[in-house]
Amino acid sequence: MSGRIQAFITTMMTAISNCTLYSRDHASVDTLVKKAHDLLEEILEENSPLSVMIVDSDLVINKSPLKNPGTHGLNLMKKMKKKGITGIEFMKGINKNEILRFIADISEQGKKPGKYPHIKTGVIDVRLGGLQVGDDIDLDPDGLAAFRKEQVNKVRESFSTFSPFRKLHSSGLEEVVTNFIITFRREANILNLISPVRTYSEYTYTHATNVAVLSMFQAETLGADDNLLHDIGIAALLHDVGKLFISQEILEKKGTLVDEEWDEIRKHTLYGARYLATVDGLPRLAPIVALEHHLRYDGKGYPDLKREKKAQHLVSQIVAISDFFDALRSRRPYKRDWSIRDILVLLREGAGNEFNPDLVENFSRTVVTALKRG
Amino acid sequence: MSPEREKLPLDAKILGEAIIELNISRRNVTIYPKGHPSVEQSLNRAYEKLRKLFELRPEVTFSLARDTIIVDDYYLEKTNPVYREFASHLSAMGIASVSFLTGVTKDEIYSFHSLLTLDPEEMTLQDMADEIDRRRLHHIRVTLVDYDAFTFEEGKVTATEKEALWEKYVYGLIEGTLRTEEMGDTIREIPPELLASMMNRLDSEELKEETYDRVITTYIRRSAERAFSGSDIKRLMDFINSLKPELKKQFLSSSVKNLSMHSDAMKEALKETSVDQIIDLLSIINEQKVAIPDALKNLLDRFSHLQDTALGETRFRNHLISDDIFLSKSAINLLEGGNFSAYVTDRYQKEIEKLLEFDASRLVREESDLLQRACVDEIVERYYSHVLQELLSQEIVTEEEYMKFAEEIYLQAGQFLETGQYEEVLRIFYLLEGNLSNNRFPHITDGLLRNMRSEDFILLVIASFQITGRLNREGALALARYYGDMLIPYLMEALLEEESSAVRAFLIMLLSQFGNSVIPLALKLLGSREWFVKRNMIHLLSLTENPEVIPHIRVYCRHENRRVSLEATKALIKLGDSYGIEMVREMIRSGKREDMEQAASLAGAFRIRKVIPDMVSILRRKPVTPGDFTIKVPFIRALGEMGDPSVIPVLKDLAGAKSILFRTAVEEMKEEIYRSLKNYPYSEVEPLLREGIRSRNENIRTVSESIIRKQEGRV
Repeated sequence: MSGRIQAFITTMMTAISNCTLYSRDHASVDTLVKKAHDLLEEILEENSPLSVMIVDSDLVINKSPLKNPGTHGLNLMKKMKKKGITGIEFMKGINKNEILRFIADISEQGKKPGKYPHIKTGVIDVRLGGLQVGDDIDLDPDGLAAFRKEQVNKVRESFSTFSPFRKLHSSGLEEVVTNFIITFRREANILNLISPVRTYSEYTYTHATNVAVLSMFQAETLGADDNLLHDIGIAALLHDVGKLFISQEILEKKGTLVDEEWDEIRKHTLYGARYLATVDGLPRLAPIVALEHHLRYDGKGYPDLKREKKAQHLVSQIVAISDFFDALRSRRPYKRDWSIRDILVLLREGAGNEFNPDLVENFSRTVVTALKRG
Repeated sequence: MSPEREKLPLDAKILGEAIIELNISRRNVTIYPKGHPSVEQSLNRAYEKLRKLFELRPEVTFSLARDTIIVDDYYLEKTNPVYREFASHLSAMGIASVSFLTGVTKDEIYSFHSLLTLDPEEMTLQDMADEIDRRRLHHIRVTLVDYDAFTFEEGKVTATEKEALWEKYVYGLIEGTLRTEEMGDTIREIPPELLASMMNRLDSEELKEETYDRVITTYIRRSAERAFSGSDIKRLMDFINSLKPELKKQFLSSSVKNLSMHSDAMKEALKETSVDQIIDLLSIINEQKVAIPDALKNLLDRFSHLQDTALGETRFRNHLISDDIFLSKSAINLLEGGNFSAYVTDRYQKEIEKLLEFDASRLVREESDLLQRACVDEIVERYYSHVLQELLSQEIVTEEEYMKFAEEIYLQAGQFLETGQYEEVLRIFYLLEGNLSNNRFPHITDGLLRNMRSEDFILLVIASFQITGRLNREGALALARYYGDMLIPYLMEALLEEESSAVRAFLIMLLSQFGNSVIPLALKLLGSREWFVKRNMIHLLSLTENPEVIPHIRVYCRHENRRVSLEATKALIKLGDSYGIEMVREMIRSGKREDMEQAASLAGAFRIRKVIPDMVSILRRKPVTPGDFTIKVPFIRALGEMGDPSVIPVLKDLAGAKSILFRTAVEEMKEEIYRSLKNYPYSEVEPLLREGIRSRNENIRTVSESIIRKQEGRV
């Protein structure tokens, strides 16, 4: 890849990041768009269009795969995949305004790329065994084309409305897990990560599963899209994975914990974050939630951080509520299961200190509604 | 394997040995020169292995799917490190397949291996193709990846990768263009309800009988060798139950036909199926009036009357563990029956199920995008960085982990720079310094700190300052201070190249933070030929407030370029040098209009009282031309900035001036006088303002009223 193309990708990705963090009107975005436009004009002068493709996990520029796409190349692929596109073509005649619109569309959560006069977005397909859905339809001469296209569109439609998490209708824990497995089966890491938890502590595993369901429920009521639900589901499922590193004796102890034991238990947050941060391909939220889920809304929780304390991430606050709810709603040898009403009273008491009050309010409202209507 | 691709089977052992030898000789060619014994011996061995393969067929082709070697329709052991290495290396060169033909020579193998020693990062695919041509490998055919096979379909979006594959598959299945034995796994992974919903969307009149059979056989059987299991039946029933009525019967008939053909397998499968499910199956069959073979009917009847021994944990386990379609050991562990009910009451379990079934998106409040906003990549990355920073501070982290986290945090620092998050970069610096002083993996920490102070990284810092610096001024200042003097030459360089005046001003501001440290370089650059460099350096020097720079600046007060000389005069005034005031006086007296205007502007901006008499003398000068009136305007304005009462009598005289010939110029001058009165002691200008209220000039009236009203209101 030429230095100019690399510079263009870097500039465009920086503009997208700045646009996401600030706004499309931010001066830095304007500067970067100008720079991107200048670079692109030079590139297209030599060779138009500039084609960017994702083939499997490779970034392919002008039909040439990048050996080392670098951080910006990887981020570009990530953004493209999130937007559901695997191909972009930039064509001669492009202006700054188009680039800005494209960057703004890519930056905006949940927005699909629009139409631009000199930027094409789409998907990359490959001809396999003579089957090429689009081409077959277009070339069909006998009038069936329209019919077939419609059928294919209908099938597509059914996929586009499919959310793996909506299919989690279940009849028991096993079903929940089965669905997790179906959902996450392409991510072998998840199974390998959660499986030892079960071997180690049945309760922790059961708890993790319920917390994942409760967290995904909360997230969905807060407008999370499928991608985000997926990440939150994984993060919640793995939030207590650090308990693998706590001795079983302490973990399953039924009596009162002595100070040293309690200190050790508190470290599961650090252990979990450390463990998950070493696993490639996990959502970033997983180690964040593992570290923060006991930090509390007011920052007075644990672990004791050596660095400056920062506010819990919203997803950690969601998981903290689920964690609390499940811990009380579950039955343990030494405690009864609490009623939902009592738990909600306690959650409200902790709102503003232990829990994010807005999330408590949302959870109380929605969980009651869902259980009544469901 | 498709018939046209059938060939004599290769001996797997020889094939494996050939690849191993080819990989060894490839490695040796990389390490040793041509003719080296290691190269020669390994080439001989590879050559011999290939010859053995040629006894079976005249040509052997290795296709490469990233890190996997494919020969004919077979994948070679994916976990074999040698195969993986060989495949990965060739793939990295852009090679899709390589064929060795009978007659291949050792020289050709050597040439092929030496081709593989070229740096793929330096070569395009075309370079590679040219290089292959140049080598004239008559008995080795190398095919490069053809990215033209990848087609761009504009305007489309994918759902997820998996779904796209399914979509393609289902279409192919309906069309009969896909080979189902290859794709069976894929369709089996489609949840039954989803597959049914896809089928329901199709027009049943267009579906042929073969389509039903194709779907059913694929969906319930993995391959011809493997019979269906209990879970197949459950899946099949879920599928059929979800079909629209007009499709139900056709698919059911096809299912019954398929199940009947494998009565033994059916028997085993039914053992794993609950009574309820068998009854359900029978009901559907009856309901749809599907003809059912007696053997199958008897079997179903028998199982429907059996004790339900399959319920409970084992049923679940049997369903999935005996059927290893997609379950790994980890998955099996997760699905095994356990002590689950000890923790989760039936009631709670039902609640969990309700929450799962409930369409929670219905409860979303319109304004609620807080979560989505909190989860944008850039925000999450910042939180993740804090996690890494915390871990890097903790004793529990091993050296290996520390290294991994340190590498990640270095990349993050670069990203924070791009988005102007300088505080985050500083956090990383402080963390590393703290770790270094605590002797925490000092070789790693020190290395990372060096990287973040390297020229490459500093260039990123400067580029970031140019783009986002002004928008996070405090953060940029803090980071610049952190780097200290080492940043000066880079900032200077950026300043010289910067086209935007706003960014130049920002860079000068940053440089000025370094105080006296910038002086040597600034003085050096003062000698530059470019006027704008001189001007910027003079400005920068003035910001140091160091009187030692005064002599260096004085010489530029008479520079041929007005912008330079003016900047120098301004700089001297700022530095309190009387030479600067003399320059202003000289300019006032010069009689040159432009100089006089600039002098007035400087005198006003810097409140230079020492030149008040000079300016007053301009005001007293008898006007001869309209220009004599208008030149007084900037001086009136400048004097107004100072508000010195000694000037008021002159202003009164001028306010009463009359001219028939130059009326417009006079009125303009008077308006400026009245505008400037707000800065003089009110008691001394009040009579003038009262006169202003009576003026015929509306602007004078308005400004006079405004000043009086303001003063009276204050009183």
